Amino acid sequence: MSPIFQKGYGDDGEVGDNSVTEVLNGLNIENHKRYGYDTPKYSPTLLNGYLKNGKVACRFKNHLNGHVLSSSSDEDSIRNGLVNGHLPRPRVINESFEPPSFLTSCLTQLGFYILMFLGYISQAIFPPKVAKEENRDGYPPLYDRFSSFYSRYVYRRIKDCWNYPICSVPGAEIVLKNRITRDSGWTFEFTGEKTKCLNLGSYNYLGFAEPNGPCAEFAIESLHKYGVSTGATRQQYGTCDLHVELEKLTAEFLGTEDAITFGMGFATNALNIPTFLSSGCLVLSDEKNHASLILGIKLSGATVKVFKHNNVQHLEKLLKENIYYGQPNQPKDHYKPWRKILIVVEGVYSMEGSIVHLPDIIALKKKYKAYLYLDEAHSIGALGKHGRGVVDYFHCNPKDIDILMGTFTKSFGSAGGYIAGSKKFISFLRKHSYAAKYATAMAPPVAAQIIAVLKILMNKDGTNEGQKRIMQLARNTRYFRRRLAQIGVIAYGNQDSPVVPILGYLYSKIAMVVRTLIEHKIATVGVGYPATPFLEARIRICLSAAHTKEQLDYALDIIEKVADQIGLKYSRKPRDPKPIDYDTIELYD
Amino acid sequence: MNKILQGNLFDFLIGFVIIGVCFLLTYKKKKVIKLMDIPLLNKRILEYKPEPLVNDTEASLLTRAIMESPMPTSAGCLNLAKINYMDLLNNTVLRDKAEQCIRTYGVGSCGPRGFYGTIDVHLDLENKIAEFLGLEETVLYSYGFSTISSAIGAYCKKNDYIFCDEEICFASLQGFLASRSTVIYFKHNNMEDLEKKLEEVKQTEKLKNKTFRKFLVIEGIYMKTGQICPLPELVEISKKHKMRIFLNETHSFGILGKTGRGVTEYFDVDRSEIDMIMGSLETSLASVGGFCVGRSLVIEHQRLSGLGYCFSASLPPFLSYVSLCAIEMFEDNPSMFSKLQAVSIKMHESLGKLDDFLIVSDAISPLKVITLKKDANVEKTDKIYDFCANNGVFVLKIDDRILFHVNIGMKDEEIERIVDTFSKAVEVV
Repeated sequence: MSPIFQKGYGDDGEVGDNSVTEVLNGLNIENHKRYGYDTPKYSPTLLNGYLKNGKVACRFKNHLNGHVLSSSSDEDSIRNGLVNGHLPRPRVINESFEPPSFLTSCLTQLGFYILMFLGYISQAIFPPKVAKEENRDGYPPLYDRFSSFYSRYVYRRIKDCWNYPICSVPGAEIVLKNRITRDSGWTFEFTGEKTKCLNLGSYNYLGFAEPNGPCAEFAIESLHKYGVSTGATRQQYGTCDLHVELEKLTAEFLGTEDAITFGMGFATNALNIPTFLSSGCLVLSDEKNHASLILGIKLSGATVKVFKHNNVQHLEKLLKENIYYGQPNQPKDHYKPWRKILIVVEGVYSMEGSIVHLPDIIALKKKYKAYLYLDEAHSIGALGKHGRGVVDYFHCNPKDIDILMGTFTKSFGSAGGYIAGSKKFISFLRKHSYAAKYATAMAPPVAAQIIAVLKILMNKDGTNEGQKRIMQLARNTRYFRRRLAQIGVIAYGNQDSPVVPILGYLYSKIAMVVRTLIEHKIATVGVGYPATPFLEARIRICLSAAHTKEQLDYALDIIEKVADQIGLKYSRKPRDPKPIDYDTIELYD
Repeated sequence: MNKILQGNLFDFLIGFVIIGVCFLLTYKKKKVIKLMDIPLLNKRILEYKPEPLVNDTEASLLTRAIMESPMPTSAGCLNLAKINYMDLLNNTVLRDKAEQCIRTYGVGSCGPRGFYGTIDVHLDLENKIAEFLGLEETVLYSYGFSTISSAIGAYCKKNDYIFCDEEICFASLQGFLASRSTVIYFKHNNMEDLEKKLEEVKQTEKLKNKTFRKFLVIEGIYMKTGQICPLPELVEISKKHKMRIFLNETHSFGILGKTGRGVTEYFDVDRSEIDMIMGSLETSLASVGGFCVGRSLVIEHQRLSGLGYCFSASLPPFLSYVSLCAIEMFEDNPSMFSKLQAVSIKMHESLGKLDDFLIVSDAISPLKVITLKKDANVEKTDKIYDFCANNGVFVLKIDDRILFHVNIGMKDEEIERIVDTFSKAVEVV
């Protein structure tokens, strides 16, 4: 074989001579040596989520032992990650994606076809109870036939599982406004009664959705001082002191040079990505990225390539390929490199419950000189010892990430989003961001709520409240996930992720579970296609620091009962029969 | 032996065909893996030098960059930059209502509408807006900007045609980008031009023997020029060409018409002629957010397909409650609208006294747009903008135009002061 041609990577798993895999392994060993870990004989298999032959030990491959080591980060981050003088240990990624059995996937397919078939029959027999468009004769139809069929005859039958109206604060408990349908889902009526439910559906990770307490009081104070809205854009006379303070605090909290905030989390992604990307740029995007990221990338006009969910090896393959071949459609033998390469990932994936393999991605980003965009919508506040998100969780250096984005809707119990990064980058956004130029500034009470929460999380209020909530959430998460494993349902994702998707596969089962749980006064969310893959419909539970052990126990008991009744115990993993002691669960080191 | 073969020959053949079909179905063309030249790859990785993430040198040369101008707080200044048509931003009753709402529901809603983020005040506001306009259904968005871009993206698809005015606002442009439809611009409020462009499309339709879906995206009062669209003519043309109308009423809902029902009431056009009305809670209602209203058949679609609706957290409850109370206020004293319109007209007349300025906007519009009559350019506008700000009159600028918003409580002295400041500003330029 000619020495010039050599397989860089591929199915045989040979890794190129200076693959990040090995770089990382090297670093890891070095760190371990330096920091006195007793690992001279390093196991060749379970390093950084890679096996030695270069195959990534992620999804479907590690579900039995589950323990895959990840390097904490490179040296720089280790240095910056010093906590009270002692070094954090590399974070163990304990993630599980147990595949369904062959029978289950067959039945799921079959179930879906039956659902569609019944839909077609019912469409033929019962015409839709929707008024026809008036004065629109001869107009081309507004929708294609399949989408209106799907929403009227498939989705409509399980429509009551979503959009449940509530009439209370979305805290640990919520009050649902009871509704009934007399015509199988076409219309709903309120019965006038209310049901108090345990809330396992809202993104209230730290439990700051409260109608009273210091945060609400501060919001009300600002309401009377600044009004409901400032009525102008951020650039032109809409910025009040609260915005400035909020941005300073956010930057301090995240450990970046500067930060900018916007009034809506979705718009933060959709309106800012197009400002710094254009054609000739390449975006490598995780396949499970949120719709707002996808929209932002689409609007920018950059080329997108999608890598497999959390698969660092696939990402590296794409990076290598794209640096090697450069931009496509060039004249022959002309090599034109990409103008910029941006890797777009999320901290915690809201439908998968998985946590991004951040240290590995940072190493890749450095090696291939790409930029990194990290969306911490679900992880900020909810992960890490100090609640600083996935960066804190892996003890990485926030300066290694070029663009840190997140929202205030979830853990902060407010609304809006931020982008944090270098001074230069944020100044650029202040000048060019569409949201800063054309959209109304964040409402002052919304900003005030976030400021109050940030102060609590940073321990500036003098109480230990923030730390207490972060630990409560971490404890709740581990406890709940372990108990679920004991019950025998398949719960996707990382053991530390407060988003817990429980697989149900069949659409009918999902609807059934949601309805039964509401009968038992537990509010959960069912998710199916298009938010998840076709055959992986699931129940999603979001844990909160506001939940007590008793509430979780109640929920788990009911879930066990329902799982027995409906048949959700798909897991084939060995179950640990030992009872779990809530108070002694080991948390962040 | 021969017999056996003869008897089974048919079976053999069928078996063979089945195997063949199976093979063809499962056969995938093996990808030819192009081998990468490892030394060259390493060289390219080593030599790869991406552009900096943001390159700001050229941009700062263009204009004097605005970073952020804080809200003016000093007494005696006139803040015309903020949209406060009905003076509801300073209304203490609304603030008390908002406080009440925060004490019941907290600040945020902690979830998208589908996942326990639908709070009863959202439903109340949706019903109220639909009832106020006499239409069937409303969807609420949590940001005014995203309302317009998401709503357009939900209906317009790749093979569709969008006709829009060249002075359309920026949010709509984002919607067009997301929809990937063919966008055709016609001259500002110029019906002949629109007809001409429609005829051209008709020719292509005939050539391809296919009817395209056509959409007309217009604004009640144009955000960039302050002019009112000629709605009756537009409806007429749309009917003729079977085109659907999306009307953006950001600056006309709760402003135009005898009772504030917007540009449709102003021209006395039947609202069912319009397929979708998009509006904002950020203008006359003094809150944050947006909405789309129309027939159920049309609007319902956004609950699954409006990206900014489906995938975003819902509007904080107090913001929707404030809007609800504001609409109730409108219903209780409809005289507000004629009062605002009177102030707008008075302002228009006073501005007419300025010899050097061209008033772009219509008299009745509370959004005033002026520009220099003689060689208007960005630098001069910048100077006027600065001069006004230094003299305590805060206005907006877009390119070579000066924008400002009229307030219902504006006194005659204030109007005089504004006009006076502009006339002085010209002397400086």
